[in-house]
Amino acid sequence: MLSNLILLPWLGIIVLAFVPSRNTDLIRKIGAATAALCFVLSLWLWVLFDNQAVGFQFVEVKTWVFPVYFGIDGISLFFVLLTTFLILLCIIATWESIQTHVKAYMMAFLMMSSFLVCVFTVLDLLFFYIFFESVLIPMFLMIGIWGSRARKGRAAYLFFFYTLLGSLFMLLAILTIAFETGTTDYQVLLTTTWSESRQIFLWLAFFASFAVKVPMVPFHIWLPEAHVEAPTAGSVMLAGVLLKLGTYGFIRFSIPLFPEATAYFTPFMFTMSIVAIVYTSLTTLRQGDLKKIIAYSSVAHMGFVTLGLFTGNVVGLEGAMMIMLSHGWVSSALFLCVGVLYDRYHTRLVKYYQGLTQAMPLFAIVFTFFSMANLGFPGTSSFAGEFMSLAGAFEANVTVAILAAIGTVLGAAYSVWLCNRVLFGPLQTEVLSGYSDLVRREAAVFAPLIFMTLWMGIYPEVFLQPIHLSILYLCA
Amino acid sequence: MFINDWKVVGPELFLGIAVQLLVVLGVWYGSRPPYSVLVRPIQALSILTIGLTLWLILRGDIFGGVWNESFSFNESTRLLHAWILVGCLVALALANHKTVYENSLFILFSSLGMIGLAASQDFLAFYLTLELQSFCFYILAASRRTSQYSTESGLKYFILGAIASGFLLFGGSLLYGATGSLCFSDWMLLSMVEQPMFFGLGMVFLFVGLLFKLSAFPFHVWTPDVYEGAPTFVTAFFALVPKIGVLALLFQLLATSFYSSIEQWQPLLVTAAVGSMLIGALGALGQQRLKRLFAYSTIAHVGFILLGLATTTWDASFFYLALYFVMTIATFAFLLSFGYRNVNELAGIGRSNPVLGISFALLLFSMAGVPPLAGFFGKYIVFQSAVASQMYAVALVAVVTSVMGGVYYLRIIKTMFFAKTDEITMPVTISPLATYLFAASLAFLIFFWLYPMPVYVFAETLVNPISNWI
Repeated sequence: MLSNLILLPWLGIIVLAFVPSRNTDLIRKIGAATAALCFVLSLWLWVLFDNQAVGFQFVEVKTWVFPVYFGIDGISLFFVLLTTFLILLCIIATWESIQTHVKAYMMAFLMMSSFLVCVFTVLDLLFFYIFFESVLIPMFLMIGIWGSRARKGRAAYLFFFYTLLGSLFMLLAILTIAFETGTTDYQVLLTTTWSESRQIFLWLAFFASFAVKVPMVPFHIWLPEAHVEAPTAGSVMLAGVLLKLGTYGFIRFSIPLFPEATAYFTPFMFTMSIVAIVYTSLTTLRQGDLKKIIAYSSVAHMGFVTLGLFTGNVVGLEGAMMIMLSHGWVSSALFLCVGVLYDRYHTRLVKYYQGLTQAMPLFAIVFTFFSMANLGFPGTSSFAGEFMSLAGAFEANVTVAILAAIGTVLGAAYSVWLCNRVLFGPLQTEVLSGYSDLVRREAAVFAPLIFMTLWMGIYPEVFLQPIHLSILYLCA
Repeated sequence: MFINDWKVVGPELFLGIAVQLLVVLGVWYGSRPPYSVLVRPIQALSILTIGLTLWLILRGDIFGGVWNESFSFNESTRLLHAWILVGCLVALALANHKTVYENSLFILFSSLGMIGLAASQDFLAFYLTLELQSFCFYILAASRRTSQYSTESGLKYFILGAIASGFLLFGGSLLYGATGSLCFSDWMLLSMVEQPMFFGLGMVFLFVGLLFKLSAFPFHVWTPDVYEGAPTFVTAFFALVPKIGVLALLFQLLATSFYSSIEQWQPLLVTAAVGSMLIGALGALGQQRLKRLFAYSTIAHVGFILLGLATTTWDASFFYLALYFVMTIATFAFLLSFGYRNVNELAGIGRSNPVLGISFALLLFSMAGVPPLAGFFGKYIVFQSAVASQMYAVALVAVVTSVMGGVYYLRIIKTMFFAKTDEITMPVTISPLATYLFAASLAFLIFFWLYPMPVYVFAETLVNPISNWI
């Protein structure tokens, strides 16, 4: 089951290799069909997932130099779904906007899909590292080749080297673990205990890697750059899935493997999270580029995630999971909204847009909806996540919860203000002309995202059920 | 007794005799244009000679020591010889057709030297074979007689190489003075209980010579100049082959003769390794010339190989060298088929030759050590040996330099894909042979991680006779 999900994109890549690159329509169709098959397979995974089972499911063993296990539990199930879902949406959303190297573009996407599923399913530290890093290759090329402006080289560099430098420290930690225990098998490592000083050292090495990927505040410089220069689909994948690699790393490795170090560093993580939430929310208010606004708001939301992860109670951790998923829909949708504008007018500067409600009513509805979702409006998925995360933080430390709650107010400020600037007021006809509303393909991309956001906001229990047991197991 | 020696060295003898017959052929028919019809296909003749030798070596199963144990042949030397010959074969195949008669012969002669080097058991045999290969290298570096750069590189290589040989010889004589023997195994036996006087000094002098041949810090200075000046196929040859023989010999010395003096040589080698990594990473940062850039990248890779030796995980070094070998084949197959000299000239390849561009980008990612490409596993296994020897600081430096090295590999990718060029670049066609070599080595680099066992086994077999013996 899992191996099919991993190998299917490669099958698509092999088929694509034999299609002449002039035949772009067929290439797009093959890419979309492969992604759709992957999504259906991962849905089937959800259907067959046993909510009552402890431990990993769908476990498969591949014999490498040592046996390597693949498997999913409640934590990784939804990340796999998120990946395949967003890959499919991205391929459909950029059906027309990508015109150069279409074949390589599709191949890069399918490759990324396979690698990401591997990251979320592999139960081996070394292989986690390998796949974690290998995502860099398609993403680096995507920013560099299909990116938009002259600074894209710099952005690709920043993205690559921040991540590489951070994760090489993780590699050293993994080597130390492998040397001292003789294995990198995650399930075996769960049963080992380390001395506290060793835990602190290893935790910091993992932190260097994950904090860059999340990104936490002093390490976040690469993110706005990468987002601004990446093509729309690249931004969607970056915000939707790649950022979650960091938080997934925390919840999968740092917290269960080094519990004492986690307790030791909890005040530190709380401080970093609050700084991230407040500082980036304020920064968001000052940005003039649509993508940068959403990028900085992503950093703020990831601050809520790290806050929830280190509360150490079930509510907080589940809240963190919820925000990760919700951010996967909401920020992806917002980036797609920016993509819609960019496809039409080729600018992302806020000052050129005004009064779009009059010319693009459908777009205005979608944009308002997701802005509201972004600020954590009750009834949307973000509210469920942020509420739980803050409730968990309240249980752990009241001061922290109060300080973090400032972030929700600031979030409302930048989201509503952005909506206000872009959608309302008189039309700037001297700058932009030839308005056209969402086309059917674009509406079809937004519809499932709206559906997911509302579903998770109104009845999150469906998503929480598979997670419960894994989180309980983590907190116990 | 003597009669049996010939059976053991059969393939090597064949190579020696065949090369000399080719010399006679050249003398007889003249090796100046207009070429006689018998002399013209020298490249094919050389490839045939090496191919036949390779076949004989792979078939051979008679092992033992020959000529008073000056050379010893076993399973591991058999593999080393095959490896060296494959390297020569690739270098010959990559050489363009306009090469003069002598160049192919020099490659053959130096392959004979390297084969002897890998099997030598005795200082005299080692020194003579090393000089045989080195002299061929000096001439090869200067082989483009009309080019100033080539002559300059040959001369530089010769002068510095001669000094290094002098150090080597001095080290050998000190060791002889200390132990009264030239045999490697005697050195080990005589230094086991107590180190004789001047033994350590002789050892250090010997390292100077060997590190020079490996182009390791602090004896790396010649590398960029020689790589830049020599004709590109000669550069490819220098990058590919000589390291195998020298590494095999260094491994043998460290693992047997000098093993009991490990406290003395370990810090030296760690310093050389760390220095090479730093020089390799920093030297190429602003480099515009492609061959110089790859010379620095070679120095960085040598640093990793030396770190494997310094931590006494010998197989890690050979493993790394095997992966480096494949990456170098791909690099030079690419460079030779274009004839580009500057990084800037690569701009626009991403648009005119997208498949080639992406393949070369993957190769560079592999060199930078990005998983799951093969280059990562080489770095991984060396990091692992550093961590296992508790050298955390050294491992940290290795990690940081490998990130810094990534900067210049990525700069090439950036130039190929991201740079906007005004002129429209036409698609470039490359020769079929270079394409096959490039494609095969790239396929190896990409799919290596699925089944890495053969290369591990290969490296294990190379170090087995000695490691088991210890």
